[in-house]
Amino acid sequence: MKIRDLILYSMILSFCVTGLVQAQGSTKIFGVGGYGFGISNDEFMSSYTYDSNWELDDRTDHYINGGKGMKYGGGIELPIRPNVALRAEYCMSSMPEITAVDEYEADNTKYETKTTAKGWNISAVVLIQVPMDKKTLYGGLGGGYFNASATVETEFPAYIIDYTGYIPFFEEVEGLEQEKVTMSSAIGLVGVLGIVRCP
Amino acid sequence: MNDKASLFVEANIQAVNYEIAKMTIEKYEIDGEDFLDEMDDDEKEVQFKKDDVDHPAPFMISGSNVAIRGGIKFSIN
Repeated sequence: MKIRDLILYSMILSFCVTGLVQAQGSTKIFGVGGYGFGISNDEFMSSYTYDSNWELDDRTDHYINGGKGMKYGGGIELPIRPNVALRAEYCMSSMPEITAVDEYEADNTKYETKTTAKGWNISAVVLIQVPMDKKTLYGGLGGGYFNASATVETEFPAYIIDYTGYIPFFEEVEGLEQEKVTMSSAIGLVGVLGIVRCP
Repeated sequence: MNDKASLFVEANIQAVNYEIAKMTIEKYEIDGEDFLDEMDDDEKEVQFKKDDVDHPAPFMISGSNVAIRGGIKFSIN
């Protein structure tokens, strides 16, 4: 480890420790769920249809983004300064399966290629909070590591490849917190998430 | 519900670039036969590039995403 890195880590640690001593507010644990919409999907693979003369008749492209899909997890929020909190989180995610089909009308055969991916991540975010009556607006920046695993399975030629790995990422959050919740607001939240999940 | 609970909704943006990821092949099976043992360690480590179009891997992509999330928090002190 370089001396420059050591100084940087020491400064961050001292900031957190000093902040914890001077902290105002309460420590919170939380559970979270939602759906990720991919940004900048990339073309990944294509489905091909060949006619009875083995000529290419149709092609459909499939796009992929590993961050797309259901997300659910939990974590803890520690107050480190007045209106500043440190959030540590563990979150799991799974990408919708992508299936490409090659179809040959000449001999009436079909071959599928399936791609699935899932993973989990740990992250830390510093949140700036703006209290307003019983609501709190917040925004924050941070980062973490994503552990991804993926499987590509092809019928012809028949192969299966599994991959795993760690990928660093940056994270940005903005949200609204409603304190002292009632049952009606809880039902409202579930309804909003239901609309988001089923576009 | 009680006064220690709070609900939240948020937008969560993750910027991920799989081109800097170091992935490892854990299984390589062709026609039911496992070829992983025949691969060198260098061959098992994969670094994906978007222009590597012939590679069958799913991670030659950006994984950046916006998630709409919601949940519940409990004060524990």
